[in-house]
Amino acid sequence: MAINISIFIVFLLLGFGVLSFIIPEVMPIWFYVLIPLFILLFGGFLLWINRIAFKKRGYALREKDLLYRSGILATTTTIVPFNRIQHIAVNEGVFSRMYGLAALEIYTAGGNSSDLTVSGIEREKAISIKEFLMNNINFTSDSMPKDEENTPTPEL
Amino acid sequence: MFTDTLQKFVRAMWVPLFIALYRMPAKAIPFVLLGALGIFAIIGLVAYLRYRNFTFFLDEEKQEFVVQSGVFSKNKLSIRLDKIQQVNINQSVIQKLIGVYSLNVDTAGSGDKEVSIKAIDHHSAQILKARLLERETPVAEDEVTDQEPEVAQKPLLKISLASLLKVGLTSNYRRSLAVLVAFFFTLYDNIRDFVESEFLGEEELERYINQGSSFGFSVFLAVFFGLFILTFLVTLIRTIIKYYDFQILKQKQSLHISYGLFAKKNTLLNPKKAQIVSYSRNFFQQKMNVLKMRIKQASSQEVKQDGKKNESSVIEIPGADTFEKEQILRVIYDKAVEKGTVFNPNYRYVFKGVYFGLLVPVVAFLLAGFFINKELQSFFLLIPLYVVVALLFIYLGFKNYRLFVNDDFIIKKSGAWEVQHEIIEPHKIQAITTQQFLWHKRSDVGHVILHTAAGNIRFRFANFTQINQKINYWLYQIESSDKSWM
Repeated sequence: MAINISIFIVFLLLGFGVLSFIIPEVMPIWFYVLIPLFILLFGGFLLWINRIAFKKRGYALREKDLLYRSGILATTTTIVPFNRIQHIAVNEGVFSRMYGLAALEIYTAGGNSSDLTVSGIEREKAISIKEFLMNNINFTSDSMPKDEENTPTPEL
Repeated sequence: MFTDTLQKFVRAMWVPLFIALYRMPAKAIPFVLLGALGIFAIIGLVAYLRYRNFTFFLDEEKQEFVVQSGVFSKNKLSIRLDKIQQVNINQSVIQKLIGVYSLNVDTAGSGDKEVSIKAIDHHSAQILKARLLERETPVAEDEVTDQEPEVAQKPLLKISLASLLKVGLTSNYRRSLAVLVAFFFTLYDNIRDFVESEFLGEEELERYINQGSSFGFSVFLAVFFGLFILTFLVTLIRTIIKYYDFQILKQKQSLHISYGLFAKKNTLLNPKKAQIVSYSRNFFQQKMNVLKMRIKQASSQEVKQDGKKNESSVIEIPGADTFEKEQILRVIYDKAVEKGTVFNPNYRYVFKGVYFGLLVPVVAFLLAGFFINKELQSFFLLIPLYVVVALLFIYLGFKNYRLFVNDDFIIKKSGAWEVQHEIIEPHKIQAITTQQFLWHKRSDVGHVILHTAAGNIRFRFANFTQINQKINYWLYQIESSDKSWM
């Protein structure tokens, strides 16, 4: 997440730089100083919020279900029982791969609002959780309506 | 098949076709006719090819229904019989002329698992219906006659024309009204443009309007009432045409629902696959003892993201009375639906309604009246009336917002003008989400969302400790029960 924010800030600064070239009139000095300052402050604020959000995040693998908790202003906890999981995917983004992290995605029949994504856990742990779930859950015929499709799991 | 292809073509092309026809000089007509003939021939060819390349059969040993289609790219679709949620047999006006039906199979999976057989004869439709949903083999192939076995059974629910009238008058007025208002405005614009350009200059028009202002006002009032009545009439007619002769029959494991005046629709559904059953009625409907029920089944995600409602994942029963509602619920759930322990919302529930429904509009209107458009101030007298009505609605909404919980059912009641009950069984829950805002921690208030395959049920401002206990119990029920949700 921190990397996302940094990239966003860099883009903002770049945008500002381009803009300042495009504008024909020369603005007073404070323009060139204050706005980048604001952008940097804003970036700092975002990073701080991100840190707090990170501390508030958590997941728990219990005997028969999986919990995921997140949120700063509102603590949102989602619980998915094992026997309601449709399928599981381990997803690695470009940056996550650099740090050896992955995201565990749990899909349910309840639509996007009840799908869990636990991001930022170590790749090995994510894979082991996935293996555990695949082996221990008795996937009855009812819980896998999408058995004809293959979910891509980039595990390499 | 031909008419279906033609219909698809016309639907896709009607805009350019219309424009072309409109702007055509008379000389070009023979070319147009030739072109049209050519197009018909092509459509005929395409339809024939599609017809030849479309087959379907039932795989007994694998318990699958297989459909193969496609002229250039061959498509093979196999659907497991126990995934079939619903079978629709419909007949549009054109199909009735030809004497064929269309058969639609609906599954709980993603959108591409749905099958639509566009032209099938009555006999095959009956056999398929028996095999697909009820999974029984008919006694002997040649014994399945065209005679409908349903005739012998008494319908579970039959909506009379009177009930339809009652329902038609009291519901769905919003959509008809919106359409009529839009129509009226465009008409008004067109008339005004026409009048301005052809007859009077603009100043003359203004003068004319100002002179006849009192006359104009009464005209306006007449038009308004006319619109009002027209809305009701249109709603009524639409309801009657759509739901004419609405019947529900219970057939072995499924419910057979049929309705329609011009285009007939037949739906078979397995009640075990229903996810959320809801019934609702507005103030007038309550006085007339008629309510609307909806049975929601698992719907695919693409449908939900679209915003468009997939017609086949919600089954509507437009007008049943209280007794019939109990009957239908008993058939769906195999037992009577009872309300259990009550959960009330915390008084904080009211805040949002008061803020967004009362304070913000009133303040905005006052500001607009003082600063933007002085003429609005004449309407200020209406504000107290609005406040009273808004308060009434907020109070009613709060009084009606309840969650009833027992071992078998979870029922959410809500609404002010239109009171709705949503019923689910615990084992239909897919996941549970709780949400608690920082400032509610001390007052022990929180929200809970029950996710099902047909949508979410939210109960907000519950007592957080109590609802968490219930959530734990529901999780226990889901995790320890073998009952399938589909």
